[in-house]
Amino acid sequence: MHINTIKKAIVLVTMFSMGYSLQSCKKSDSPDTPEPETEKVFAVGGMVMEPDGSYIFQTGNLTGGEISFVGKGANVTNQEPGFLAFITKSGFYYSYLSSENTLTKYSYVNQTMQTVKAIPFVLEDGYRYNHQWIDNNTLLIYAYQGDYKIVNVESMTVTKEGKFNLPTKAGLTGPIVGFAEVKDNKLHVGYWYGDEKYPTAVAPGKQNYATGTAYFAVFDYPSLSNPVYSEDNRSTSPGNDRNGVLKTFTYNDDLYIVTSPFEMVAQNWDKPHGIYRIKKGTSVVDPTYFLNLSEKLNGDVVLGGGYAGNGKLLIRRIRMDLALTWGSYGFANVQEFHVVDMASGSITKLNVPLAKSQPTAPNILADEGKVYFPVNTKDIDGNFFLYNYDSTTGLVNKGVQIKDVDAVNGLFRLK
Amino acid sequence: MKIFLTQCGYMRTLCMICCALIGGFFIPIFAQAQGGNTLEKRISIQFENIKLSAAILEMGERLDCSFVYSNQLLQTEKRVSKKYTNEKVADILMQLIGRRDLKFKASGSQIFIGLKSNKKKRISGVVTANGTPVPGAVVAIAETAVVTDADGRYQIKIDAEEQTYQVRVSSIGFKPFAKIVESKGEGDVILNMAMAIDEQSLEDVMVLGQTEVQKIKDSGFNLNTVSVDKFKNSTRDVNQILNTTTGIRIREYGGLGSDFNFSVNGLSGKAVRFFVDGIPMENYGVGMTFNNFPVNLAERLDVYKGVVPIELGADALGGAINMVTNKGTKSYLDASYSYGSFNTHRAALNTQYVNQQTGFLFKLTSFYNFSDNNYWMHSNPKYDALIQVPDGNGNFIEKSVRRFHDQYRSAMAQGEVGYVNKKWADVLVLGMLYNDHYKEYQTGARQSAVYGKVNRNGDYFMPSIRYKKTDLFTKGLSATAFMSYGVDRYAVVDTSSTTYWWDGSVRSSQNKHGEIGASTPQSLTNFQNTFFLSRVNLMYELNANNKVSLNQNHSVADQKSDEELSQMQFTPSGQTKSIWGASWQNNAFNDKLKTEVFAKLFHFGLNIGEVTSGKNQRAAQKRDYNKYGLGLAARYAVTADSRVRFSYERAYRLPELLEVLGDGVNVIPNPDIKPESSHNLNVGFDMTKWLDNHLYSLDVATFFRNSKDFIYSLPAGSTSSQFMNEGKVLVYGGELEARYKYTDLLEVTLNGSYQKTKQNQQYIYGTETPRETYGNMVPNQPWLFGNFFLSVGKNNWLGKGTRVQFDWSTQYFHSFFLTWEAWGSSQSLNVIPTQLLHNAGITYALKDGRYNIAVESKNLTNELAYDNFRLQKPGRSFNLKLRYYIH
Repeated sequence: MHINTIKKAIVLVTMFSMGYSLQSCKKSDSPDTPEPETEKVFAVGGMVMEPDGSYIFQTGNLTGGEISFVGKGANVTNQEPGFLAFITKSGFYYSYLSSENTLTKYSYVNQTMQTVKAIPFVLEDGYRYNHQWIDNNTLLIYAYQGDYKIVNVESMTVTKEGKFNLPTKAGLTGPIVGFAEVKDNKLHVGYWYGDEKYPTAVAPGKQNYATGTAYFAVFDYPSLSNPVYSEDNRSTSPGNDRNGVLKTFTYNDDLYIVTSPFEMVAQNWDKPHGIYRIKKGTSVVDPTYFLNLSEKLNGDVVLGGGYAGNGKLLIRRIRMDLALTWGSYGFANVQEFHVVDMASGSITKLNVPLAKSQPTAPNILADEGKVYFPVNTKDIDGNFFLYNYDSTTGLVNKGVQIKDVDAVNGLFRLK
Repeated sequence: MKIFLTQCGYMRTLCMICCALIGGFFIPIFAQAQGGNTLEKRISIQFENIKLSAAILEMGERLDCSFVYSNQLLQTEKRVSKKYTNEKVADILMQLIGRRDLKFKASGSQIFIGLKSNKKKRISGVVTANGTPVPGAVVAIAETAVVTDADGRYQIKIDAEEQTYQVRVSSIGFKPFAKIVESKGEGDVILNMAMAIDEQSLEDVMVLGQTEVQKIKDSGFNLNTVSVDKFKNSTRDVNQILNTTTGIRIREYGGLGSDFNFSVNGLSGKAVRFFVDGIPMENYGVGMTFNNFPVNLAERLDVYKGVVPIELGADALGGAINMVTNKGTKSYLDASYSYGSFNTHRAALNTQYVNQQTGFLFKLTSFYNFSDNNYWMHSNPKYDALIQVPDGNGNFIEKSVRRFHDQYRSAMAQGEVGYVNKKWADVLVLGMLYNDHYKEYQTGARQSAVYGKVNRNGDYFMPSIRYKKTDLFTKGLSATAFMSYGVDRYAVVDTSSTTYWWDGSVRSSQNKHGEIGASTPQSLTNFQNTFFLSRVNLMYELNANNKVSLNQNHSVADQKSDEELSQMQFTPSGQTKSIWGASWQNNAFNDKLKTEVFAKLFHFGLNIGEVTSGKNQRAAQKRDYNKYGLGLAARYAVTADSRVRFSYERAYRLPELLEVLGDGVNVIPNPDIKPESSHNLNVGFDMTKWLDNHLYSLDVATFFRNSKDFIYSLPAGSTSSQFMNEGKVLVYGGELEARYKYTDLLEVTLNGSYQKTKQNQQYIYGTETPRETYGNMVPNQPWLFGNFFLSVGKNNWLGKGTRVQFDWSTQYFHSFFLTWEAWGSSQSLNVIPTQLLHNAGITYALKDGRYNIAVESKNLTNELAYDNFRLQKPGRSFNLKLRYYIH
């Protein structure tokens, strides 16, 4: 009996002390030593599918050579929402993640994204957002419902924040901002409204969501005061809500705005895709100008492009006669590239193969008179090329060969 | 370019572990397998062109015996030339004579050669000890051995002409004995035997509790059957036990009540179906899952891998798990309560009363779970899993925080009344089940998305009736039937206009959206789903070696939902599922070969009402599917202790309502979607050997799955999605489990699973564009994991009727890549790290297990554990459990 008591005591002591003997475990992980940054000019975003993988590779040349992503490049798969998240300047990457309310500044070191600094960054309704570099050190980020912040990216501090003063309309969703552009001490904003009960489209079986009107507001900058509002119903959805996808460009000192009624962005089947203008020195949309792109392209959709300079605008056209399902917008060879002569309004098709690409991807890059764009159509060896259009010569050239990915869905200039 | 990846180093390590296990565990078995009669002797002998009669004579000289045979039986003039090296005498004779219908019998210094008799006689009876049946006793005659059933019954067939034979009986805790039996004539023999308790060995013996498990496992299915007896004093739930078996990987999103992803041999999600006593879990509503079932409610867990028997009536692509609760007819009471870390309370009451005179039965099954789940979250930059909060100056600081919105509560009670062991029914029981749950959500799919108010709550009730009868209408026909109707009501609440940081402070307020999705407005969505299920299983025993079964499952589910804030009515929808199954089971070669061939017929009907508003308007729709599945499961007993298994099924998973017809709001219909399908193949070998008080057991299995038409959700617009047939994968691998047990003093189990999932989709969907990842290993799939389990216990150490037991378990998960391994620089790839998690517990049982007290620690070394990317699991926890069990 006495022995049993001792045994019981041993068991109880063991039972109640068991875990505490192991409490002192502590982890310490020394961070990997970063290697020196590699100086490059461009960043190419490659993608493989199912499950999706996204990779950034830096290079100094997009006009020749080849790029493979096997074993190379920084894995950025978790930078939701993919390449749309990236903003680049002066060798750094910036990524705003609305789900985490975080703006992070990265540098590309040893083929990894190394965090330089992350700051809390709450944008109301920041699920979709866009950006504009006001200068090399000042970044405007705005959410699609008008919340904005201006950031000093050197110190990673917010210098100004608020919400664009845009009217709401009873019974309608919005305003939904398609672009915001600081130019000539004015902030230009384009927006539209959504309507669940908007009349059914003329095209059979199609339903509209965006109302048939494009709206514009122009504010004094930097005070963002004295708004001037205007509207135009020749198209709708001025700009678009995908970060890094062409919205505006400046030609002859005037601001030009590309519209996007396309169903992936705003969904209005009755309005054409085209280009508006706000002339320098005015604060309203120019009622005398609208370049109807769809009319010249068999009623097709235009989304994405780049202003090459010299009055030449490259646009991405989606052949709606070939794109029969939603999936085919991104995965079938349905895209053509055209050049718009801004002086004459004429459109010329570029002699490149039919391409496939996420039409909402920021993968067309204008830089120093050229526009680079991927033709994600694989040759017999499974490779494809980045092409470039040179506004000086008017020629289109096959550039760097891309290997081992399903698509290039991001193109960025770092300098 | 295609890249094929291998991890040869790990495979070598796994092979070495396997070899060591096999060698270490089984050398003693083979060492003992020597000796026996003359026919079993091994000799080396050579014949060169001599008559058969001379060859037999030469063997007789060598063996110092004589052969007795009829010249009419053998071609004695036939000349033979052959060399035999270390072969059994019986095998040499068989080859020399060249007839398979002969039998050999050694008696003294004579070996008789005669014709085999086709006739058999049956020896059957009951093995008892002190008047009580002994289940699990081994009864053997010559080379044939069987195990007694739960009532101590056995049956063996021997040649009818055998007049004298030796019957050997053994069972742990009892003295083994052998008995010479004489029975003249060819009639069946009843032979009841009484065993004596071995007092000495009983010192270390408790009930083995494996009889039923062994019986279930004795089929060709690739099946893990887990007896939960040894876990009943544990605070683990059913999932945590399943997670330690081979081929299963459960990836949990958090603590008690969290969501989880369950994979069997690499296939997961809807490919795996769950059942409780054969009733599909989806019929129990959203509030009941395997990770809130306390272990005390289960008797055993059957895991069917890849090939699923017709009884479950399921369209299971990758496998099925059936939790079997106590369905015996004895009275018992099992009550337990545990309290532990994170303010976790778990109680279970499981009791049954049976009046043996009247057959009246009352059963109550119930549990209650509560936890704050407020475990610490630690920032882990190494694996890109930061926990950061604002410092008030526009910057972040990393810190450890407690989870603040993860409370979980669930309760269930099921009462059953009826009768057992009546003329008109073995069992006829009416039941009523009620379940209530409340669950808070702390994070989204990643811990970087923090929720502070989102929750789900609801209740469920289900009346049911079950019936069982053997020898219904005619001898050999048995029937089981089940019918239930369930109503599941729950609400998903995402009404907060405020979002939160990890420390609980406000992140943003006055949002137009909820917390779950920045693109979706605040919502309070009510669901009401109803389920009707009927299941009938008929089995007819044609004769001792042949059975046929017919199974029919019919279920009807209807869904209604509305959104309170927008007053939006979602479209009502319904689905009907009928699955017919037929099987034929055959035993051949003295039960050495068991074969089951089965066929399944699936019918699936879907309907959804008209959508008259919103962006995706459409008319009411209907859709029907019919599919046929086939399968086979066979096992061959190589020896009395070892078996090989083979199974195959052409399996289907039918599309679900949402996948075909959408939800009328955000999910666009795809009426052309096809069922997922898979060719599933398993080959296995298992061996179990008792040597005195030592048990050695080994189970090795390999599997192959060729699956296609996986149903995926693809985004279709900024807020819409559509399901499509997209995926095609090959999965293959192997698993091994070795076990050693010495009475009830010591038990050691080691298992490992290796599996690889290969992308097999050559072209991008709907195009002829090659997919770049074709042929590569699919990322984010655990591919190497294993478990070690050690139990040391001592009976009567602290007094008569007591038992002290120490349990230790270790789980190993090898790291795996979150994204494609070959793409991107190696230093930038995200990984789920290698983890080694330890659990330990001590149980003290008194009064022969009536009172039990246990202390248990999970994640003893407080590892930062992740099943999923950026989703930290609980750290170290302690639990105290008290249990009262009387039966």
